Amino acid sequence: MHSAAPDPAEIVVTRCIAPVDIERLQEALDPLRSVTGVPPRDLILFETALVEVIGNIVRAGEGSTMFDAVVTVRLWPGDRLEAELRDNGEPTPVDLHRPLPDDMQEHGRGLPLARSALDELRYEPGAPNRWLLVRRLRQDA
Amino acid sequence: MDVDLDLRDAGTAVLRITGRLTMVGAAQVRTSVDRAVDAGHPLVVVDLAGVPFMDSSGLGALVGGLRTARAASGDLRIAAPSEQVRTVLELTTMDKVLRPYEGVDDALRGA
Repeated sequence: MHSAAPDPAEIVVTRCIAPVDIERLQEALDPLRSVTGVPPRDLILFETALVEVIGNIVRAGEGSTMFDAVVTVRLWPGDRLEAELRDNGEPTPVDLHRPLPDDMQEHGRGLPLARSALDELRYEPGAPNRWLLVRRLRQDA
Repeated sequence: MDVDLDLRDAGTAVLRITGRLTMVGAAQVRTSVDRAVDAGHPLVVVDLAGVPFMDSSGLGALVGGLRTARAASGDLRIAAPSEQVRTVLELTTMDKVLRPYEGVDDALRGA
């Protein structure tokens, strides 16, 4: 592809299948924390959403033996942070537009939180299931 | 993530959490709040100064703790949240239920 945009910096985290792997994923994001041109607020919102979505995937895959999930994070300098998540869990319908639960409920805030932290959140169930998360960088942030 | 429970006088307790509060440690936070309330300390202040990151499971644990504390005529208050934790509270509109206090002493006083 011929494009004027600079190539993205890419971080790939494989075998993201258990809660402890989410910690590993967050540590893998560390290089982004010192990159100039990534406003801290955008990274906070992006990371918040990413942890919610991978948490959903990990919970859905719990107990299945052949389960695997791969996270690819791309920084498009000056434009956006993007994460693509692929997993081989059971393709299940997900309501991306479900509202926040009542205040005293303990569960059900993950996806609404992810949605409000992102500019784009897409899910395509299949083999593999594929999620796409996009946070645009606010240059004036 | 580490949790340190400090049972104080007059039915109060301070729960100091250090590290990321996510699905990995959420159950431990719930258990610690239960312990404080069971021991007769239903006013629980959760010190979040050492928590750089919280997810919705961590928030759920705080909500569960709040329910437990209120059921015992107490309260659960949070102190010194980081910017990320504040952001999670705001985006979920839970900052009106778990109103952040500047520090532990403010939270204990409720002012």
